[in-house]
Amino acid sequence: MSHLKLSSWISSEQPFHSTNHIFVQHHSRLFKSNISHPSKSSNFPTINCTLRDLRQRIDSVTNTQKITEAMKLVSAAKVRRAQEAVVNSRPFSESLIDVLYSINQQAQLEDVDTPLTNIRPVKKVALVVITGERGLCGGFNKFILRKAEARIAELKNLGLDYTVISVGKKGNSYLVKRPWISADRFIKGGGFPTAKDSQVIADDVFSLFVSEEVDKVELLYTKFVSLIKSKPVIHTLLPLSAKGEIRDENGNSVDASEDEFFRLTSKEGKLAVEWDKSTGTSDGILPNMEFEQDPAQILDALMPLYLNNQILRALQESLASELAARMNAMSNATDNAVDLKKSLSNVYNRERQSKITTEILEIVAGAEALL
Amino acid sequence: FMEPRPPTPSSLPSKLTVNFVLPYAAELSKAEVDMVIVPATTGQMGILPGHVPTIAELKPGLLSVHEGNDVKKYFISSGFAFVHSNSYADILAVEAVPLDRIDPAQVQKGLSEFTQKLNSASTDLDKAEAQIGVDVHSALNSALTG
Repeated sequence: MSHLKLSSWISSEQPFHSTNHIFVQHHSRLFKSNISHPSKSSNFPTINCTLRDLRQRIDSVTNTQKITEAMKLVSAAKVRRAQEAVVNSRPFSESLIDVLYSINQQAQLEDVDTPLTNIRPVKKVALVVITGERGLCGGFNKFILRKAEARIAELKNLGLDYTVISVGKKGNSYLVKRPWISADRFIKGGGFPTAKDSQVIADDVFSLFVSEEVDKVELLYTKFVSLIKSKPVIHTLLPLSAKGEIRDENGNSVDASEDEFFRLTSKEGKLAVEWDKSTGTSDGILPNMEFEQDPAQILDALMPLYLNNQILRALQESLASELAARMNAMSNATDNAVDLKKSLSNVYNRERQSKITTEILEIVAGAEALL
Repeated sequence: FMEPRPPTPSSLPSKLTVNFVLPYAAELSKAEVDMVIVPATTGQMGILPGHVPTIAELKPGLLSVHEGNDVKKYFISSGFAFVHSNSYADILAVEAVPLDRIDPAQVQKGLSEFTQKLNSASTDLDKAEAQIGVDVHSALNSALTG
């Protein structure tokens, strides 16, 4: 029951401290009534007996604190699992990058053209925005949606058309309320993202790009930096290019200023250094590679797999950041609840003592009057 | 994390080092084995230590890892196999299941279901989907029996 009350107080769009405002408002109302009316009746018709009201408030705050603490522990446990999932999927994507790089080197000698590497002048951009399923995660959803809005404004300035593919209930409901943003929607399955979930998104993106409805696909997700910090980033998914920027028909660069580029060599700084070293030794090996099938066919099959993998990693990182944000928000909520309970208890005790004192004074005055 | 591969040894190594990875986990990591048989699209391919560097696409089928007298069998949905020159093999599979976790009765049921769908399919899309179902289930079947 109190859980329901909690969700009605806290809207996921606003940052956590707005709930504090609600508490503080109630709190100040009680304080006011305490100071101006030593008697039990008050200005506000809703408060009949301040003492009982205070007790109820203390009970509800205690309940809230238990809930937020439980949510914090649950999120903490889940973050670990999410991080492990990200780490577990790394060998796969690294091997894939590995081979893609070596094939690309060989393929440059031949005329291999895969539809996914097609660089065209950009007229329309698809933005895949990954948000969370539930609220109570601090500013997580707000940040990523703000970034999406900023990117849309940028694209409009460049005179480009856009469409939004939203993954996650929070993003979906945000877009529903804003019908002027053209959108295509998904609802994430919830729970830990699997290859099946990312396949759905990958299929859609693939068909949009190959049918030339959009010329560039960007992925907006929250990168997990650390348990207390996460960063919304924009990552160009398609076209897959070895280097260089994507330009629109006027030759202006269409990339976001902080775009994370898909590099066929590697994505993380650490790996890049290692690659430099080992390409020296493996150069002699590559020309000897035997292809069981036509390199073009292999590339054709590898690209979608790589795309799928990228999206899966983005989903996993997004989930990890959401859980970390929830953990932090709930931890703050618990601390605030503890503080609030302390101050409420103080007021309650003072009120109780003043009531007792008043009664004693009345009795003593009454006794004196009799004498 | 992957370290850079050791340079090509002058003599033939005695064991094959296999990395068998899935998108969400690493099934085998740097396991030293004698032989791996992968279901390539061009047929079953055996990889022994000292195999020439190869890239092959895999079709749904049986993957078996031979270590001495021990054979571990997995059914994989599809993927890639890369053999490098120093007897390192990377096998990437989209989905892999150890054979003992597959129920033969379900496989038979699935096979008959999809064969039926294929016969009654009207549109090209339905036909293609049914054909894929038949292929996978018959591969499962032969993996279980073979």
